[in-house]
Amino acid sequence: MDPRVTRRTQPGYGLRDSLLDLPTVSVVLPVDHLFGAKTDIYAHTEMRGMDWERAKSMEWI
Amino acid sequence: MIGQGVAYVRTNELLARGTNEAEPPREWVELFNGSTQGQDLSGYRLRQGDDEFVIETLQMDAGGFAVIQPSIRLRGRGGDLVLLAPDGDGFIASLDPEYPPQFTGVSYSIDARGERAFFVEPTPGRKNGNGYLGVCAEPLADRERGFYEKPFIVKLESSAPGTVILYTLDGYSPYLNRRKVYSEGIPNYKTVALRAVALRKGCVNSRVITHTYLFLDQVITQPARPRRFPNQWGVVFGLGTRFLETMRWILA
Repeated sequence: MDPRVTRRTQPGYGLRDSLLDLPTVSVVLPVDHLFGAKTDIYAHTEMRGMDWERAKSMEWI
Repeated sequence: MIGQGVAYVRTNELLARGTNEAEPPREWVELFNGSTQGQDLSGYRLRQGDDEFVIETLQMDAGGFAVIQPSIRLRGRGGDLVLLAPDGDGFIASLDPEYPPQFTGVSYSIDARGERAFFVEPTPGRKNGNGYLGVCAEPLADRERGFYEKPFIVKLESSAPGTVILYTLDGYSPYLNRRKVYSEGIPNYKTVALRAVALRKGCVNSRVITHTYLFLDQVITQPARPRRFPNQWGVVFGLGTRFLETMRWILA
């Protein structure tokens, strides 16, 4: 991240405070199911059907 | 109307959470003709909730099995699944009024003892042996998902003796090669996703649990382009050409 964003903030409005203020969702799956492979689903948004579904875990942190 | 012995045909075994490796692949429903005559099931329907699948043509031998791969999705979390006559809402027969939550690659049926059971080796189109009556309890992690500042050790526990816990820290399924067998506390000092499963003889493997531990300092200082993340984000990848074509057409 840009240090200008992470360091120059008003007291109480730091990046840590901001991130902790937001709801966080963790989506967990093997990285090649999501990115950077012939069968990843991020680069193949138009594919349909069960072959293009991937199991994943989703957590509300 | 129920008649001519069709009442003896029932949904007998099902696989609601399929895998590509399974044979036959994915989801299926096995029908069993318990009558002493052949039956014509053409036009009969499988219904789950509001979804229906029509069986186009199907002749079943007396005492025979048929395996159907319906185009409707079978609910993995459990649900009702009934076989209906072609001409109405007449309930014919089902394995259960409602089947319980299902597991990937594991089928559900009545076993040779007459008990409702899970089969880690499904037997579509064949008689059933004895299945597993229960499901392993999930492993318990003594550290919950969330934000952490300091390194810690996470311990995994299982309630039943003889349980083996497998885990990974890289997001992959704990069934894959890179898994580890849990023996003692796992030290952790960075952002990871712990995934674990409990296995024990005589029961179906537990659900895989996942706990993501986030170290906020590492989140803030992560590289602009983490390893194996895409080089390009956004519209072209994210929305797809069909959407872009439509937008172009609207804006033209």
